[in-house]
Amino acid sequence: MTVSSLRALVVDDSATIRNFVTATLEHAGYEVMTAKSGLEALKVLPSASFHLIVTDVNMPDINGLDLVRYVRNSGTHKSTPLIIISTDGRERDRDRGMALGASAYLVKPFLPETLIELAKKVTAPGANVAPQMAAPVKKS
Amino acid sequence: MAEQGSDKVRDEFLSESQEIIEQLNRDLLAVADACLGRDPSTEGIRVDPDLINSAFRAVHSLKGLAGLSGVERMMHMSHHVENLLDSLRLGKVLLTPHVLDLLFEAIEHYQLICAEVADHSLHAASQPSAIVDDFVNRVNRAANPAAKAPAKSSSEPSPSDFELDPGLVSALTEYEEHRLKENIRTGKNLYRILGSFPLLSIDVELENIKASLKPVGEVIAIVPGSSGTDPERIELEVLLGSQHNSSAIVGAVGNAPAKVLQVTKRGVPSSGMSLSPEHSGSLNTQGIAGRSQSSLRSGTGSIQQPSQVQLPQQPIKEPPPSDNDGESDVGGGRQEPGHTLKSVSQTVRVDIRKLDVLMNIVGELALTRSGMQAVHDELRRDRVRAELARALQDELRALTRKLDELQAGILAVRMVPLQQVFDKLSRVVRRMSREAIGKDIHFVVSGGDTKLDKLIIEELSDPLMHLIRNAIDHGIEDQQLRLARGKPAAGTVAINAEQRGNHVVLEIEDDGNGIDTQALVQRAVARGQISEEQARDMTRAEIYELMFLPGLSTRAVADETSGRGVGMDVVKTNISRMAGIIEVDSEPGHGTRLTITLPITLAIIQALVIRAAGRSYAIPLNSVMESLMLDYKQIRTIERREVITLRDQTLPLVRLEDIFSLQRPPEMAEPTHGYVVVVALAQNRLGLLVDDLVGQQDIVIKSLGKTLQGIPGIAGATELGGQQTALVLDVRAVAEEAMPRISEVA
Repeated sequence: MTVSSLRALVVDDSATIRNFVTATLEHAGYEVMTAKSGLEALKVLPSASFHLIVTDVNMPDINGLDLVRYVRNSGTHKSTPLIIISTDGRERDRDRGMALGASAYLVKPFLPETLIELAKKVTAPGANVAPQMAAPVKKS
Repeated sequence: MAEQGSDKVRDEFLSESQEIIEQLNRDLLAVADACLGRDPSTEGIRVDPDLINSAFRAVHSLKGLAGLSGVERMMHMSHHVENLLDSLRLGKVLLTPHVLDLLFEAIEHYQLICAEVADHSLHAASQPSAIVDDFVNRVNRAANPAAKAPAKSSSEPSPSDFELDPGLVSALTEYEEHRLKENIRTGKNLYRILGSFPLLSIDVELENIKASLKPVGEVIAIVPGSSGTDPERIELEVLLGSQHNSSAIVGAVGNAPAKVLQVTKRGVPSSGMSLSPEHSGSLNTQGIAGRSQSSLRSGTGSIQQPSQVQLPQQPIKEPPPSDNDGESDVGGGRQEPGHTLKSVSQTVRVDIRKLDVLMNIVGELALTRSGMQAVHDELRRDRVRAELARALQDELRALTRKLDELQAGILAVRMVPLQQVFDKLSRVVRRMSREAIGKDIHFVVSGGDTKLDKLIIEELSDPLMHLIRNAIDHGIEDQQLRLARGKPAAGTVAINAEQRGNHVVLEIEDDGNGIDTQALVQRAVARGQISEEQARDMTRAEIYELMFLPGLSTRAVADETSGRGVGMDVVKTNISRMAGIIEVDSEPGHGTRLTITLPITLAIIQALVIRAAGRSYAIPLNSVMESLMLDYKQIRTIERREVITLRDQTLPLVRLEDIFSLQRPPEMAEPTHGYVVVVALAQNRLGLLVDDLVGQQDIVIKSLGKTLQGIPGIAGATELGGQQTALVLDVRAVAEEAMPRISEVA
């Protein structure tokens, strides 16, 4: 199951969730970089390449949706698989994230296996990574 | 193995949840503060939306944390509290005192759950609990009230009426979108603040911008611009709602490298703003909003050139040239005169426990240094490396100096001038002299700049207040009596503070009645606290000590000023808790003087390291009066109690080995001589009999951990260097342990 030299970026402002996702992905063979905030992720993204990005939605300042939009509009990460972690009851934000081009979402709390399975699915060759390209969602 | 793992998870859970709960508590307190004096009856209370949002985020984080850690009960509860907070921040529920009470109650439930997890395990709190269920029901009732916040009429302007970048709007979270709508609904102006920030300083710059915008409006969202143009920079756009005009926003942004644009309504021709010709030129070339993803992303992505602005928004402020003299660009900009939007305060509030942590680290560094010293000594013995040893010695000396400075620096942060307390006392005296009929009080304060540890200052204000009240109430006579005694009509109460070495001495003096020793003795006899026989041979000093017996100093009749219940015994207890001493001196008819001696700080203490029965102990130096060598032949026994005579006074002795039931190692002979360490607590003096004095040392007290906590007589442990540890004596507890035996004898 070990897949060498796969790199993932994990973005969450909660240390516990960051550690949990990191440990899970590392177990699945990923080399994991972490960011404690959307801003920190922005600092890392332009200069590194990733095979997978996992981000929380609800973060102060730069939120997860901003990150999805940024990633989908960037040159280097346009097609990087991206999983958003959302919370039960926040369907609206999750839908936004998917509309902005997230590859998949996870609802907290989730099992490690669920994350690994989803990561496998979105990183599989030929997976439809960004079903909807950053089309501005009109909602008023 | 699995056990260890789960322990680690639990500790992590506890520390993270504590941090979040504390944040939640702070937010709610700030909300409660903002609610004070508002009428919540109709509209609900409006508070800074950031506070509610911060509380929401805290509960949101707790929920995620609890979910991952399997703390079902906390997750379940958080889910519902989060809903309530979400409804609050989305304006669906009004903030009422009842809602606020519920939120505060949530903190209590959180603490209970954490306590349960700490005492047992993460699984302990996985079962539902009736108390939490009941709470959740009440939360849900509040979150779905019969009367919801008024629905907004559909005719109100919406974000789509504004020339906002649809890309930006699409990435707003539900909350951000709500705040945008709220700002629009309440008629605020919308601004975009665009900046390009160097990667290295972006955290600081963003915080600066947020801080400088906070006074003028609400940051609705922060959105990244395009990537790729310059890997060393990040472009950010801040969406701000504000009632202020553009010049105020420009002023607030100051010299930060950012551009301010006002967002106009669709179809409203941009007018009224002072535009330079080239700007209006660029505006004319703009396409329809929405065709471009973002002004930041378009073209070369540069926002330095106004001609790149693609949306019909007026550039109000251009960023200053990026090569400005470099003196202030990281700091977020100097203020032009007249712009005082930034906080002028240079102070930060720090939890004193954080300073304790730093102090501990300094202590540990000192130990590391001792270790290095040992390495150096080893090195010096090697002739080949003597040169290296000398160099190391120099470095070690420099390290020691810096460590001392660091320690002094941290201590200095804890120090607060006594004036704070004195000011409070002055207010009380003013009020009392207005209320106390027939008494005119002249309150004299000196030495207010004397500094003491913050913790001591906090503990000190109540005892001082009590002593001052006592002096005015029972000390100062009424005017007629004063005049009859040939004293000035106005009574004087003076308080003076001064530093003497590592102590601060406070004197509270009045020129009133003095202490009526006879009345004091009579009361003590009447209450059965001393026998008549004892009363007969008491010295004046001993009689004054009677004041500190429980119940003796409190008057039978409580009055307005001194109140009832708190007696001098409580004052004494409070002062000795701070390792302080209180002494009384009085002259009947002329006045009373109370002298309080306190250590400057409690954080790091000087200790006398001693050895008894083969073990090392540290005695806090602030309770040590003196130490002397003693030939054990000088010990006398009075009624089965060991004493010595010290300067014509009888000093009761305590052997440490008796207190702690220590077994002397068999190879150690019963000593024929040793040392007496004379310790003082409030007015009691006691001699501790020890085998040897090792020396004085600065120590940092460490707690003993759960299992050893609560051993009477031990305050903690400390490291002495060279891997040696010593227990730190709690002199107060040792004295209490010993005193009953003494009073049994007396």
